[in-house]
Amino acid sequence: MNKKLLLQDLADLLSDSGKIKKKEAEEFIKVFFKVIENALFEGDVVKIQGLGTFKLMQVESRKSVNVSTGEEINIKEHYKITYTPDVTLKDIVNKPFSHLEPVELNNPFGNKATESKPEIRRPEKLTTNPEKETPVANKIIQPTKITLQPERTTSPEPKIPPVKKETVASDKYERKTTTPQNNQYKSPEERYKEERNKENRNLKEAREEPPAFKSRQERIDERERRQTERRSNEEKLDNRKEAEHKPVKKATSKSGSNKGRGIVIFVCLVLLIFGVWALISTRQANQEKESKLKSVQAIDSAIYENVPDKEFESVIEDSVKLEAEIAAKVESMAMTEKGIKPAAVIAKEAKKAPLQSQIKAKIQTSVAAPVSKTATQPAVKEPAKDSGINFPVYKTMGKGDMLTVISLKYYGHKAFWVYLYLDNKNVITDPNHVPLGTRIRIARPDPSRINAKDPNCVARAKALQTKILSQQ
Amino acid sequence: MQVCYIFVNIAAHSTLLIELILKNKDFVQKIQQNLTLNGDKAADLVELTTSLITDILGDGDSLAIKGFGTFEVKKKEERVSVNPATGNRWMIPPKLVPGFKPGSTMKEKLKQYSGNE
Repeated sequence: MNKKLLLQDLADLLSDSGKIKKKEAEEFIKVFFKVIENALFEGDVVKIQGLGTFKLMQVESRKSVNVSTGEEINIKEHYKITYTPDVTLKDIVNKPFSHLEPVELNNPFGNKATESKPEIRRPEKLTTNPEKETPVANKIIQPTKITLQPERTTSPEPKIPPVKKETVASDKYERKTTTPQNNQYKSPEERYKEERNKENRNLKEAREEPPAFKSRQERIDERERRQTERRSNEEKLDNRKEAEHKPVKKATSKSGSNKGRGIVIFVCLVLLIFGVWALISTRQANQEKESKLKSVQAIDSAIYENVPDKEFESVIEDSVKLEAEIAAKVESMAMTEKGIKPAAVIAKEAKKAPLQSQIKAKIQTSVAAPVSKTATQPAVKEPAKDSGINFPVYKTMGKGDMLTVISLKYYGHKAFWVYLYLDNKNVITDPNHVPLGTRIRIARPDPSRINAKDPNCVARAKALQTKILSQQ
Repeated sequence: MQVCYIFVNIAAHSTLLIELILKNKDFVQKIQQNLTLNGDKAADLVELTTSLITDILGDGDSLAIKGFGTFEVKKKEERVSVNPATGNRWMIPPKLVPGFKPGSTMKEKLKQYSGNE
């Protein structure tokens, strides 16, 4: 316990258990850590199974104050090693405390933390501490929850006067703080907890700053008495409220949730399956449609570039109609070809499910939505959805659209937004605030300029970006 | 303007993290190269060493490696935490956590590394 082992000790252990010479073991351990170190300084993150992860982290420069002189000093940016222990190692190290679980504190004053004054905190802490110490003093692995339960059950009952509770709690505290001293050295396996107790006591004493133990106890008692007198009226009100609220809460949460959860999970599962199915089917339909529509789109895009504005809209309307017809045909073809059940069949199936109306509605919408979408979608937006994009694409800026996002979508990298900006300089005044409804032209990417895989292109785009942004 | 910078930064960092993780296998390989051991033996020894370190830390001892740093067990005190959503107060029990502190030579190297950058 609390021994400080050195490299040599580890080497001894290793040579014993690994059946190798001590020199070899020492050499190995040295290399072991040397490799970690070298990898770290090469900028790697080192992950070792059973031990943890080592990482070099940059600490940004910050201002600080020299404690002794009061001068301001500037701490330069530097690197530090962070170590995140492996989960198994964490568990093993934490074994002495592993039986302890977070415990919800039973607040004698109700859950009105916001209303209560800061003074209340102290007595609360004191009443909760005995709860923590009971398992330590009596038996180790008795979970803390058990000791809590009596208090918990009493709290919702409004008949017990709050003063009584207080005295019980303080009594407990007295007993517990004295007993550990007798029991302490009888159980050597509990060294951690004993230590903790000692430290806790020290801490508390430091907090309270009493000259002697007894006087502190008296003070605490006095304070609690005063507190309880002051609070007695409030508490009665609180308790009454609790009594009204708590039973209702428990009833709904216990009986309702168990049944409800199962149903909810089942419904979610069913919806998820149908959602995935709908997605796959629409995608297949889209792919087929795409191949058949390519010629139409080519014509469309050609038209957009040449036709003047007034004719433009009528042409679009025509093309949309054409599109819709073709899309509907393709959709039905795809459905029959792929053996996909039409919506009516699905609706029948849905009737078998427990929550009929909800699921039916959802499925119908999920089936209907993609059909209507694909049918009414204007030709302009069509190419954006597919991987093979027909440039140039026209896009109207909608809510949440940013140049960077568009460039990521069409050009494969965020940095290429600068080219979008330069191409549309006549409509975009400020690249940071492109107004809604702005119609931008996304030109065919020039592979020498716009290539997401080429770091040089990205670097050039970034340089351009800083230039543009500095001009702003 | 700032939004763009943030995007670029995030992209750069995420690629860095993905590419530069030295996994256990690579680690074993590097040790093997340095010591000219058999692959199996190096892996065994690495596993043995880590398990020994775990044992040491599990006993509550600390392990000081010269030129690298110290592995030790730190204790996190119990504390009261408040769930901000519900206002419920929870007593979080104390726990023991393995920690690492770089040694003096390591710190010196880190300083140099920071200075060169």
